[in-house]
Amino acid sequence: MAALAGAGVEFVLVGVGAINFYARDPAHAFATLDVDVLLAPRVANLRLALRTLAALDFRFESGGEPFLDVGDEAILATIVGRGATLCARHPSSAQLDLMVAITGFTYAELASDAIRFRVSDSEIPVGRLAKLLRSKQLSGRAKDRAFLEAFEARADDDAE
Amino acid sequence: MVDHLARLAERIERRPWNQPGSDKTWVLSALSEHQKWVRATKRARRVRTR
Repeated sequence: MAALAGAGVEFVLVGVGAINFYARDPAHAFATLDVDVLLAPRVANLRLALRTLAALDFRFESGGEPFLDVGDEAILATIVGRGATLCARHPSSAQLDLMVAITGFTYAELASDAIRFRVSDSEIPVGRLAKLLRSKQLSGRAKDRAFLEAFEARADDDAE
Repeated sequence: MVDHLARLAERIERRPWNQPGSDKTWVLSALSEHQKWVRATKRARRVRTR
């Protein structure tokens, strides 16, 4: 994450991994195995993100298959155009889901008022909590509805 | 429902630990530890107990 920020990649954290940034402590966080990184949907930005992570030994997957076309402009343009997600894996780091689209909001809408939290020595932009929850609501997926119910049940402690 | 969630989010964002610049290093550390734990449990062998 710090490397992405340091390299000048434009991104904002979203999803459950980002919602956990608003938790009081680890006991109030939700279990998840990945962090959703919403990238500014431009080929150059996606390429920079992939190169930065590849230099740190991350490996990429798309649809469960290895993704090796890190430098292929046409394929990167297709990913951006279709709003596809790439998974970045590393043996000793959290899994990153690299997204260029999210339900309900554009990148600009999420980035414009993102809150910057400190992680180690870096400042990381995290989407506003109301927008992250709204995106889950709009997705209509069963797992997101279940998450929102659990969030509401647990969040009352944090909100008091 | 929408208003309720938005109000809840607003209240949570105002909590002292959510001010811009707050140190959230623990979030990624906890995620990484959780991931290690899941990997370890997947690798673990079942042991017959009786």
